Amino acid sequence: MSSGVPIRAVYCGLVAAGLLLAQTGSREGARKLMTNELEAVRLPDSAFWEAGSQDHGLDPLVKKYKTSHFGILVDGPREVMLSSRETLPLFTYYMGSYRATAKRDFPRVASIVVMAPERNEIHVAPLLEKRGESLLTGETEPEANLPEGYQMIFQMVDVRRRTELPWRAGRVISQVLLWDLQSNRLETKLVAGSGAFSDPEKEKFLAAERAKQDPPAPFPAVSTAAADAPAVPQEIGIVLAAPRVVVLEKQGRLELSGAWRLPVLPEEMVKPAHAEYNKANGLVQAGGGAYAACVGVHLVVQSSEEETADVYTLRLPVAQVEMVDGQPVASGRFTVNLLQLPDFPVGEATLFLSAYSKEWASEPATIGVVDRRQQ
Amino acid sequence: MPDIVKEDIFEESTYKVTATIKSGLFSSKYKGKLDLLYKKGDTVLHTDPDVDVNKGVVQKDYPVPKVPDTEETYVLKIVANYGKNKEKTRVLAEATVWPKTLKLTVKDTENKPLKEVPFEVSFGSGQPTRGDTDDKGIGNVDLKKAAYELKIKAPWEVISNKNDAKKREHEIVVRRNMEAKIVKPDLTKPCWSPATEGGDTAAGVRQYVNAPKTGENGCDGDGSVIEFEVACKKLTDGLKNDKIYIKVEFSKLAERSTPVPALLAPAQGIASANNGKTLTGFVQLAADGGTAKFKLQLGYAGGETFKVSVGYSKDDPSDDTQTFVTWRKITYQLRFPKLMKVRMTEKTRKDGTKYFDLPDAVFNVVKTRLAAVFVEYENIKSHEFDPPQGAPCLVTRGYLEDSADTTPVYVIDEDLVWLGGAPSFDAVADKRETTITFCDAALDESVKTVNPTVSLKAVETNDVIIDTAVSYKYFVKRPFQADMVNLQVAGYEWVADMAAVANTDKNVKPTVKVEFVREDREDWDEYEITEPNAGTGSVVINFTGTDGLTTGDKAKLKTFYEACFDKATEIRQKNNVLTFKVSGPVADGHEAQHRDITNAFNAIRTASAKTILYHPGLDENGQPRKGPMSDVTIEHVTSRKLKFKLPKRASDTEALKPGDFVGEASAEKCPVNVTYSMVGAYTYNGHAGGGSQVLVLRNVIPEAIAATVCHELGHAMGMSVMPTASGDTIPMPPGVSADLAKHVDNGGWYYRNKSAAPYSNGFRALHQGPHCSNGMPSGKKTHQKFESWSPTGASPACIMWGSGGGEDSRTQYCENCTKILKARDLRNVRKTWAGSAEG
Ligand SMILES: [Zn+2]
Ligand SMILES: [Zn+2]
Repeated sequence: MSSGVPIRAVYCGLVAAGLLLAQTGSREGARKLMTNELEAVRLPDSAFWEAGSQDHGLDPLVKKYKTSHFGILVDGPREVMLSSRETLPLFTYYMGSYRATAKRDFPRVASIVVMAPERNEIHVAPLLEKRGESLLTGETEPEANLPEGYQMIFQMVDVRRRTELPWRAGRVISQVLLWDLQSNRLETKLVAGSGAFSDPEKEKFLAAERAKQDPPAPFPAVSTAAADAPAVPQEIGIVLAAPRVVVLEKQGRLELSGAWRLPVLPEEMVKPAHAEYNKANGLVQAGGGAYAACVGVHLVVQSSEEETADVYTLRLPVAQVEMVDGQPVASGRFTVNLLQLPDFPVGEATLFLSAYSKEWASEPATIGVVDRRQQ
Repeated sequence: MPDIVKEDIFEESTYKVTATIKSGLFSSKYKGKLDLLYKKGDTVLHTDPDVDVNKGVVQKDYPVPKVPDTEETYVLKIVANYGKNKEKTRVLAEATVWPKTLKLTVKDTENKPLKEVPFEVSFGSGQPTRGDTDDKGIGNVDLKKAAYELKIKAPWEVISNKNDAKKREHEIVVRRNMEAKIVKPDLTKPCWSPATEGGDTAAGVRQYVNAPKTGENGCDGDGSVIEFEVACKKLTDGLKNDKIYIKVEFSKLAERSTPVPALLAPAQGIASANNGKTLTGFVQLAADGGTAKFKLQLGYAGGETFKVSVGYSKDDPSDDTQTFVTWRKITYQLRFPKLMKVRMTEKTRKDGTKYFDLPDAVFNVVKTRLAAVFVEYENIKSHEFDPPQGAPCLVTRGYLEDSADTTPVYVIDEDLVWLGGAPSFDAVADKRETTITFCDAALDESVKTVNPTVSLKAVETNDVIIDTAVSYKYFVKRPFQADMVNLQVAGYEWVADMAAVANTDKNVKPTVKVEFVREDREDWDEYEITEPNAGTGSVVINFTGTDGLTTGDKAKLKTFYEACFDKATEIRQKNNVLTFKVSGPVADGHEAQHRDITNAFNAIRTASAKTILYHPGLDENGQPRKGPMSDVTIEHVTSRKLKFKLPKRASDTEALKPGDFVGEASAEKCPVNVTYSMVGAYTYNGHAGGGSQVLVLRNVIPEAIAATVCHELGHAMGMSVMPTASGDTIPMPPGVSADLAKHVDNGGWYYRNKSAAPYSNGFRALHQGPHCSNGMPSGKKTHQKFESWSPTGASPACIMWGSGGGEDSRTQYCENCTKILKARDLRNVRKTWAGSAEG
C-alpha cells in the first residue's frame, strides 16, 4: 500500500500493518509481492505510452511476477508532464486461481481510486468503460467447468479519462480496488510542462487563498462514537471497524465505526472569525465554541451486488488540533449509521468499505448484510 | 377631285367646318353664297343657309348631335349647295360620330347590384380601360373613337348582357364561375406517398421537410419549402392579373419556432391569423391563360399538417386544395456479408432492382415506431460482400456460442478493423444518410488480456475454459488487429507441476545394484568397492580372519553409500540407480562373502533416510521439466474454449516430453502447467456515432432488434438532450419548452452516464451516453444506478433507455422524446449534436 507514497518513517508501521491485515483477509494474499520489489522491474515512464504496451510480454512485470503474486498490481509512470501527455496510463494486473477470479470479475467490478492528497480530493470510477448498448451481465462460467490453474488479467487504462481527473499539477495516488482486495498504490507526480515557469509567489498566493476557505459542514450529523469503536491510533492513519455480519431489520442500523489520526489541511481548519458561517454550518460545539477543524475522510463503498463504487465524504469535526513536527494533526473516533447516507447501496449484499484521507487509507472493512426488512 | 375630309369625332363635340370652294370648276375662288347641309344619311339634320363665302373660304361651327341610344355610331356628312341657284352640290366633309360614354350595370342572378366586379373595355389596339363596379354595381367608361368590346373579368361569368334599348347602357347579369387550380405540385406523380400508411393521397401526402433541396416542386426536391403554381381551372379563362387567393391552415403542433411556417413572396397580401395557424395571401396571373407561383415554408418539424387551398374568392378560396403532412426521411446504406442474407428480406425498388434489407419482421416494427415521430427510414443501397476464407470476422455460430452450430456468422469490432473485405459505403453527400454495418456480434474496444496458467492432467484436454466471465469472447485473431494470431505463446513455457507431486512420490531411494568383478588382489579375501558414477574413492573390505563383515566394515560401506548422494545429478543420470562395483575374488567359495556385501548394501539402503529427488517430471538437475509452449498443440475450438495436446518423445533416447509423464500427481506422473496469452473482447448490441452504425442482428425477437435500430437512430437524431460531462449541450429544438429537457434531478427523465462521482445534475453511473428513463418508477430516479431497475416487456421504458435485452422492453419514444423528435431539424443526422447550434 505504501508504494511510492512518501510516508514519513514514523507512520510506516501502521500503514504496513493495515496492509498485512488486508492481505490475510484473503487467502491469496499470502504470496503478496511487496511493492518495493516492483521497483526492480519498473519500466521507464515512457513505456506506458508505447503502442502495444498492453500486449503480451511487453511489460516485464507480467513475465517476472507471473504466478508469484496473487492479487492486484498496478504500475504506471511516476512523473507525467501535463503539457506533453494527455493521458495517465495505468497498467493493472490481477492474478488469482480460476475459482477466485470467477468470484471477482475484475474488469466488471474493479474500481480505480485516485487521491489528490494535497487537496484531499478523491476520484473513483469503474476500471473499465463499456461502450455501445450494454448487454452487461455478470454471468460467470459455472465453477465445475473452470480449469485448474490461474488466470491473470491485465489491462491498460487511462486514469485521467476514467476518473475525469483534473489535469493540473500535483501528486496523485492511484489504487485499484476489487472488493476486499486492494492493489499497491502508485504515486504519480503531475508536473507542469518543462517550459512552464512555476511561480512560487503565485503558488503561495493560491495556497493562502485555499487556507482562507471554510471547511464544509460536518457530515453526517455530529454524533458520539459507539463504545466499541476502535481506539484512536497512536500513529497517523485510519482504522475501520464493523460487525462482519449484520441482520437488517425494520428501523435497523448498519453501523460503521472508525478512528483516525490525520494531518489537517489549512482549508480544513475552522476559522473562528467566521462566526456566522460556523454557526450556520454546524461548526459550533454544544458548549458554544467553534470546533478547531473539520477533517474530510472519504468512504469508498463497494457492494457485491453493484458494479460501481460509491463515495461518501465524512466531515469529522474535532475540538482540538495539535502540532506535530510543525504540522497540525487531529484525531478522533466516529460511528456512522450507513443507512442514513444518501443512496447508500443497501440490500442483501456484502459491503466492502475503505477510508481514504490525503496519503492515508484504511484496510477494508467487510459487512455481510442479511436483509430482513421486507419480512 | 378635291379632298374630302374623313374623320372620327365624338358626339356633342363642336365640329368646325372649314372649306375652300373654287368657282367654275373651282378654277378660281368661289364668291357667293352657299347652303351648308348637315346630313345623317339622307336626313338633313340642320342647314346653315346663305353662308357668305369670302375669299373662297367658308368657316362654320356645328354642335354634333348625340349618337342615338339605338345606334352604335352614325356618319355625319357636310354638304355644300352653291352656285347661282345653289344648283351645285359638294360633300365637304364626312365624319364618324362616336358615343362618348359607356355605362354598365352589373347584377347577379338575383338582380342585386354587384360591386367590385372587374371589367375591361378594349378598343382593338391600344390600352384597354379597366375598372370595377361601384357600390351600385355601376361602372362608367369613357369611350374612344373606336369600336369597343366590354368584358367582365374573372371570376365572373356573364349570363346576359342587355343593351337593346340603349346601346351604351349595358345591363349585365353575371355569376361567379371561375375556379382556380393548383397546377404544381402534381400529387398524382408516383413519388408522393400518402401521409398515413395505406391512406389516400387526397387526405394528405408526405412532404420530407429535412430534404436538402428546397424551392422545387414537391417530391422532386422535397425540402421544407414547396413551390406552388396556380392557374385558372380552365386555363384560357385566366386573365392577366387575375387574383388567385391562397389560404393555408397549419396544425402548429410542434411549437418549433424556426423557420416559421409562412407564405413566401411572390405571394402578395401575406397575412397570418389565428396565432399563425391561418396564412393568407394572393397571387396574380402573369398573363392571360397564364399561371402564378408562390412558395410555402413548412418548417422542419414532423407531423405538421398544411392544408393549402386556392381560389378566386377572397373570402373563401377553396377551389382547389392539397394537404401536406411533414415527414422526415432518413436513409441508410446497408452493408452485410452474403452469409447473413438468409436472415434478411429481399425487396424490390421502384426501378425493379432487387436488394436485401433488414428482415421485414424487424423493419415493420421500426417503421411503426418511427412513424410516431414522423420519420421514415429508407434503404438506398445495400452492399453485399463475401469475406475471404480465414478472415478473422468469419466464424461459426457454434464458435461464437460454444455449440455445435455450424452456421457461418460475421463478427466485427467497434473500430471496424475486422471488416472482412466489406466494401466502402458510397460517398455520403446527403447529410440525412446513415450507414449501417450488420453483424452477428460486435466487439467492444475495452478488451482484456488474459494470461492463464492451466494445469493439464492428460495428454489431450478438451474444453479448457479461457475466461471465467461469460461475456468475453476470444477469437482466433486478435481483436482490433488486422491479422494477428490471438493466442500467443512466445516466451512462455510448459512446466511440469512438481509442486503437485507428494514428497514421498518424488523423493525416492535409489535402486542399489551390486556387481562383482574378478580382480586378483594381493590379499585373498579382499574386495575393493567403488561406485563409478556417484562414488568418491573406494572402500576396501578384507574378510581375512573374520566370519563376515565387521561393524567397522558396515559403517565404512554406509559412509560410502551416503556420500554418493552428494552427486544426486549423477545418480539421476543413471536413472536413480547406484551400481556398486565390487572387485575381488569370484572363485567358488566366496559366495558367502558376496552375499554379505549385497546384504549389507540392502540393509544400508533400507536404514538410510537419504533419498534422491527423482521423478519423470524432473530433469537431471532435479528441476521440473519445462520447454517452450510451441511444443504444445493448442486448438482453438470455440470462442471460449481451447483444446490442448502435449507432445511425447519420439524415441526412448530423447529427453522426456510432457506427454510422457502428464497425469494425476503420482510417483510416475505429474500435472503439466501450460501458459498462453489472449485478448478477449466484450460483445455488445450495436452503437451509433457520426452517422455510422454497427448493428448486431441478434438471435432475439424482432421487436428487440427494432428497438435497438430505433434507439441508435434516436442518438443520430440528437437524443437525449443532456449536456456532456464537459458541459456541451445537445440543443433543444428552438421554441420548444425547456421543460421537456428536464433530467432526473430536476423533475424530468433524462440522464447521462459519467464515469466518476458525483452523480448529480442528471448524471448517473450507468449506460453509455445520454438517455431517457421515462417508464421507470420515479422513486428510482435519485439512485445513481436507478436501483438497477431495467424495463421488461410488461413494464417497458422509452426507446431511449440505455440498454436493451432480448425482450420488447422499449416499445416507443416516450411523450417527451416524441415531442422533441417531432420538433427536431433532421437535415443533418451525421453531426455531433453536443455543442451544435442547430436544434
Ligand atoms: Zn444509447
Ligand atoms: Zn424518452
